[in-house]
Amino acid sequence: MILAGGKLAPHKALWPNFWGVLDNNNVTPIEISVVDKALGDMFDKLELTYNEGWPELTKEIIADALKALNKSAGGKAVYISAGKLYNLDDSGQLQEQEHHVAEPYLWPIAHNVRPAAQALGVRYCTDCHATDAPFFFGDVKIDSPIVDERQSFRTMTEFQDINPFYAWIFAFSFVFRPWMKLIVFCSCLILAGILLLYALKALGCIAKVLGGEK
Amino acid sequence: MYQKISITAFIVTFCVIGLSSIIWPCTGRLRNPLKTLVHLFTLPFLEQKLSLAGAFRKIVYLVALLCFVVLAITGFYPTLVLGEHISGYLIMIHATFAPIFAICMAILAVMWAGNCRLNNKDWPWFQRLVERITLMKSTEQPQNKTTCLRQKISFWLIIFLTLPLALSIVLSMLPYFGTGWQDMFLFIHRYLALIFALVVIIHTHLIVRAQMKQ
Repeated sequence: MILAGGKLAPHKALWPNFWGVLDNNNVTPIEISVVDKALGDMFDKLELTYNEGWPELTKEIIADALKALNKSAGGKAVYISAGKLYNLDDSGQLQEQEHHVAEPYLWPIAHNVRPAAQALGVRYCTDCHATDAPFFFGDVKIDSPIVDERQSFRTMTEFQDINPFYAWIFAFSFVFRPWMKLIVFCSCLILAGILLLYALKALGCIAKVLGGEK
Repeated sequence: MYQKISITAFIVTFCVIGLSSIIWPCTGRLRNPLKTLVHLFTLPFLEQKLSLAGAFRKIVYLVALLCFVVLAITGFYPTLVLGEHISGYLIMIHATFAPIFAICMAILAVMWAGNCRLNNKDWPWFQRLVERITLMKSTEQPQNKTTCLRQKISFWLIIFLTLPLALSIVLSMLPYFGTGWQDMFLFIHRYLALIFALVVIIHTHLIVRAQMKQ
């Protein structure tokens, strides 16, 4: 993620999962007691399997739950999960859409200090700037109980708000970076040699003049 | 701060160049402006009378000049116009042209150093001082070639400045220096780049004036 100063910083991410009420593009979470009252019986009857600590929900279950919540929530019930907003359209079909409320909560890892030897970039620039470096090209798994979304990922470039092609070509330019350093160092060596040579020549001239030679 | 200093420095330099051109105009410049324009336009082309080494030297000089223009635009445009650090595609272009420029500077240093060596003809006052100190009369007659002297000084300044300018940024790319050093190297690179750009502008102006006089 990009911080206010324009610097990239590693963040922790938490994907929101909750039932809510949609009101003028804002989503208000429904109180747990209301959800329990509306959906408790329904979920008690279901034999849900668990995966990675999550109950596995199908879209049919979510549609049924939203129908039940619509009656008791006092507004249009929605479900926020997997970075999306789920609600029922006018015909009662489940629809999903991107929504700012469904975006993951991110906060910078400010105090998680690593030893220098483990810090990113301590070895090479390619710790981050490689065409396969996780820092730019890693996939972030979207945490959700929805079965269809279990294999969903979001790329790191999406979080950094940068063009993937730009990130790739920038990383690719680092393939030639050692050559660039070598060329510049060699050029500097030649320049330093020339400067030293003519400085010594000038010194020789001064020594000759001061020594009384013509 | 850097933005203000740079803009002021560029304005002052261009004003000084403009004023010097008005106060000491090149001979024949006002008499035939069309011929002067054609002459200026054809300066980049290779002359038929040039030897192979001369042609190579001119090509290298023109490539270096082109690289300088690209580096100056990509380096100064974001800093001076946009008021932000160089980034994105501009930094990729900057890093691509930088090694080419370094090579050209090394070649130019090798090929031009002999011609740009300072001698007693360049500094008649220095020769008189040496004669007074050593009580010896020089057989060579001093000539007042201030333009030539300025060209030579600006050439040696360019060669001298290229060294820390290139090293400051390449060293910051090595994993041996921490963030504090990297910031310091960047600071040095920025200010040296400004001084370097001003010297190159003055040097180019002097070369063009010398060519026009011929």
